[in-house]
Amino acid sequence: MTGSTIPSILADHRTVVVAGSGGVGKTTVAAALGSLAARTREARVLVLTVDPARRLATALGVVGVEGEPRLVDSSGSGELWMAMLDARQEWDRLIERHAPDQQTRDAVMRNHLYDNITRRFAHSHEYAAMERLHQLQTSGEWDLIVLDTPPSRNALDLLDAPRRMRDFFSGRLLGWLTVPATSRLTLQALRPFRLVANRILGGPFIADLTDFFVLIKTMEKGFVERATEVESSLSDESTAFVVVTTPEIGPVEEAARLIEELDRRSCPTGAIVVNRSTPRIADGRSAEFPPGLEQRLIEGIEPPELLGRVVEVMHDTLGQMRHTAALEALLLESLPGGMPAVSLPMMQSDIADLEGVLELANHLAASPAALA
Amino acid sequence: MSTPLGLLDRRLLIVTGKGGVGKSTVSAALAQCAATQGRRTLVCELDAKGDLARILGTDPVDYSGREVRPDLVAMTMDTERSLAEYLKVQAKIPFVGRIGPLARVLEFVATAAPGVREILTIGKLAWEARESDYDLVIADATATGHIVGQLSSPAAIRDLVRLGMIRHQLDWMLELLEDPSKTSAVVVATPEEMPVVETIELVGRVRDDAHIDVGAAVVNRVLPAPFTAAERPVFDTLAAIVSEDDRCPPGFLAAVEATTHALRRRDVGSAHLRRLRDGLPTGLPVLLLPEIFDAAATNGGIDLIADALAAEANW
Repeated sequence: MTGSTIPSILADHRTVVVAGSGGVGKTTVAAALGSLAARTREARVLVLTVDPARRLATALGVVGVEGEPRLVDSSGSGELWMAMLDARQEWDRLIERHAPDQQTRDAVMRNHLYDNITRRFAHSHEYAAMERLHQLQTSGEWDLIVLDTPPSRNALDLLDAPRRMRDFFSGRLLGWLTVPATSRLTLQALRPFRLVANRILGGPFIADLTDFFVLIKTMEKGFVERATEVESSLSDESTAFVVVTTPEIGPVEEAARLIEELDRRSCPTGAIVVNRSTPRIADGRSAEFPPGLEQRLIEGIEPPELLGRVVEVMHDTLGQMRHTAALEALLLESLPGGMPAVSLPMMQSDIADLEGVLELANHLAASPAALA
Repeated sequence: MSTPLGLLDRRLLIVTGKGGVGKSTVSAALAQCAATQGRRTLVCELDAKGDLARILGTDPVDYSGREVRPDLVAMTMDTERSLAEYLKVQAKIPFVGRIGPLARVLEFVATAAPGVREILTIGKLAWEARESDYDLVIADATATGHIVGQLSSPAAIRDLVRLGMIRHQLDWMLELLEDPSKTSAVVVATPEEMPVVETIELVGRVRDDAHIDVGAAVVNRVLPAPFTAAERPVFDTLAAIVSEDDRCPPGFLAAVEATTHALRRRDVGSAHLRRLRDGLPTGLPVLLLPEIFDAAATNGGIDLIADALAAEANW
C-alpha cells in the first residue's frame, strides 16, 4: 500500500469501510471520502451511513428518507448519493426474503419477541448493515460504496457479524431449544439447561422463545448464505479499510488495535485519517516590532494599557497550540508506520453542510505523508 | 453560597453520553470526589475498554475489582462472570458446571433472549448498590445508542417474563432504579454539535422511557475564555491593524492566527453550550469542566478535573 494516496484508494476499490471508535467523526470523514470520489471520478458514489450528525444529514437532505439513497451533489464529474440505514426495515426485508412461506413470515413478524430482538439484541445493527451493504453491492448501481460503520464497542463487530450468524445457527443450543419433543436423547442432554432456564426465566417465556426460534430456524439456509457472501466481499481485494482517529490517547489506542486486527484478518488498512488535529502554525518566536507598527497599535488601541496583557495571552495561546500539536505528533507515532496517513485540521466551526464536507475532501486529496 | 449538589448522596449513578465525550473521565472524577469525602465508592466500567483504569492511573482492573485509592474500588463488568455469580449466589443452582461452557450458553441465551446481557449488567450494579457496603456505585456506562435499552431492560423483561424467580428480583431492582433519591443518571456532553443534540434527546429518553432520574448534565472540554470582556475588543482591533500592515513580523502573525483560531472555536462551543442549556429541562444542573489541554494526549489531568468538578458542584 505504500505510496498510495486517498484518491487512489478511492479509485481502486468498490467498497471502502470507514472504521474507528465512537465520536471521532466517522460519518463526516465517510461523507468527505464519498464527495472526493464523486468529484474526481465519473462515478456513482454512495455513502451508507448509520448514525449521521443530524444537522449534517438535514443539510445534505437525507433525513426522513431512511433506507433510500438520496442524490446530494452532482456538481463534480460523478454523483454523490447518501443513504441512512433503517435497521428495522432491513430486518423486515431479511425475513421477507428468507421466509420459506407467507405463513412463516407472518408468524415471525407477529411474534412479540421479534420487535424486541431486532431492535435491541446485541449486534442487530451489524446484521442489518451487512444485509443492506449486500443489496447495494449486488444491485450494480454503484461504482463505489463508502460504509460508515455502526457505533459499537468493537469497531469490527461488523466483520464478525457473518461468523456470529453462522455460529448461531450451527450452535448446539439452538438445536436443543428447537428440538422436537420426541427426541429423548437430546432432551436428556438438555435437561440441566432447561431446568436452569425454567427456574430463572419461567416456563412460558422459554416456550415463547422456542416458538420464535423454530420459525427462525426455517430461514437458516438463506441467512447463512447471505452472511458468507458479505463476508467474502469484505475480505477480497475490492474492499479497502480506512481507519479514523482523533489525536487523543483513547481513539489512537483503539485505532492501533483495529489496524492490528484488520491485518490479522488479511484485510490490511488502506489509510489512516487523523481527524481534528491541532493546526500546525509556523514558528512563533516573538520578534521586535518595527517602530512604526508599534506606534500604530498604541495609538489605535483603547485603552492602551491592555495591549501588553493581550499580546501576552496571544503568545501563550500560540505556545499552547504548538505544544499540543507536538504532543499529538508524539502520540501518533504509536500507530503502525508505513501506511498513508492524512491529518484533517480541527475546523473553526462544525461541519454541517456540503461546503464543509467539500473543504474536508480537499484536505483528504492532499498527498499523504506516511507515518514515521 | 449555594447548596452542594446532592448527587453523591445517591446509591447508584449512571454516567452516560455520546461516544468520545469523556464518560470515563467524568466517572473517574465523580468517584474521586466521593472517595475524597470518605464515601466508600465502587466505580465500574461497563464496556471493558480499559479507559477507566488508565484515567485513574492504575493497572487494568477486572470483575473482582481492586481498591485503587482509599475508599475507591474500581472494577470492569463481565457479563459471563456476572451470570456465574448470579447462578451460584442467587439462583442457588448447584450444577452450574453441567450446563456446558458458560460463555457459549451466555452467548446463545443473550443472542436469543432480549435483554439478558443488559439485565446481568444492571442487575450486578443494582445488587452492589443494595447489598454491599458501598455508599455509592458509579457506572461508567455505555454510549447513547444502547443505554436506554440497557436501563429499561428490567421493565422490558418484566413485561416479557411472566413467571420465574427473576420476576421477584426485578421488583426490587426497579424500585431502586426508579427512586430518584437512590438512582440518577449523569449525562456527559461536550460543547459540539452532535453531543449537544444527542444529550438533549437522551435526557428525555432516560426520564420518559427508562423512568430514571437525570441528576446533572456535565459538559466536558469547555474551552476557557482567553480574554476578559474588556480585552476581547482590544484583540479584535489589534488583529485588524496587523492584518493590513505588511511590516508585521511572522512570529507575531502566527500568534494572531493561533488566537483567532482559538477564539472561533470557543465562540462555536459557547453557541452549542447555549443550545444545550436551552434544550435541557429547566432546573437540571449543568456542570462545566474545562478543557485540560494536555489531558487528551497524555494520561494526566484526572486530579485537575476532579478538583474542577468539586468546585462546580460545590462539594
